[in-house]
Amino acid sequence: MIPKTSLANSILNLNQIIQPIIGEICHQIAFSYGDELQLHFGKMTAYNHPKLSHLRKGSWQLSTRATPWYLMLEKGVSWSSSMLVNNENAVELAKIQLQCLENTKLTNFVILANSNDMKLTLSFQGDLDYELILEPDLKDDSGLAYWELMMPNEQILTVGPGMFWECKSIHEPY
Amino acid sequence: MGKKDDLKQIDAIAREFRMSPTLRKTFGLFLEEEKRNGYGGTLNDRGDFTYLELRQKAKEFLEDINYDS
Repeated sequence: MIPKTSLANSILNLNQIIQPIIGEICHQIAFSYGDELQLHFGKMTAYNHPKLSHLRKGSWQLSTRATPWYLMLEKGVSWSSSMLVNNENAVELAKIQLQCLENTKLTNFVILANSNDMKLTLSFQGDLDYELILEPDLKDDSGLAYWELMMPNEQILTVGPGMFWECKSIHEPY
Repeated sequence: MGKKDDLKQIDAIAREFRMSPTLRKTFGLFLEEEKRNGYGGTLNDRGDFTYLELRQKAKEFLEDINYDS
């Protein structure tokens, strides 16, 4: 098993890995089991599974796990995942709010990390400019990663839990 | 807004069935499709699955892939 890398001395390496996603189009917002927000970028292809062949996935897939997110429009918070806690129709409402990101261009993908804070900011350019911000709770002890990025080079980048990350083959068993 | 307990269960099932990260993600989507098509679980009104139901769904999910290939 490859040991996880500390963010403290490798933020440049990490930024290098994610750099190629900048400029890609966000084609699809989806929610997976457990209400996990997923964003699909790049070339879209059909799923191989016979029951899912009518659905498509991106060559880049960002999964947000259980990390709180918020959507910023201009200078104000437009929508936050915390608004949806205990709401029966949370996924439907979130989809409506996040639909504005579909068919926009990703213009930046920035990881900010220091000893007591970590934040991922995605900037989008469409008719308007948007930012989607993931703000992990560093005190969370669930053991879940903060976010994952599946890449066209058949690697998956996993960030968190804690100030650590790893990049491994998507073919390696979980 | 992701539900930690649900995600942890999926991760545990993925480990048990030695799914790759790609399959684990596809499995999550498969479960949502099953719910949408009326084959949801009994955990709650939303059709979420108990752990035993998730294990059964994992078997069906992987069998469908094997039949297809």
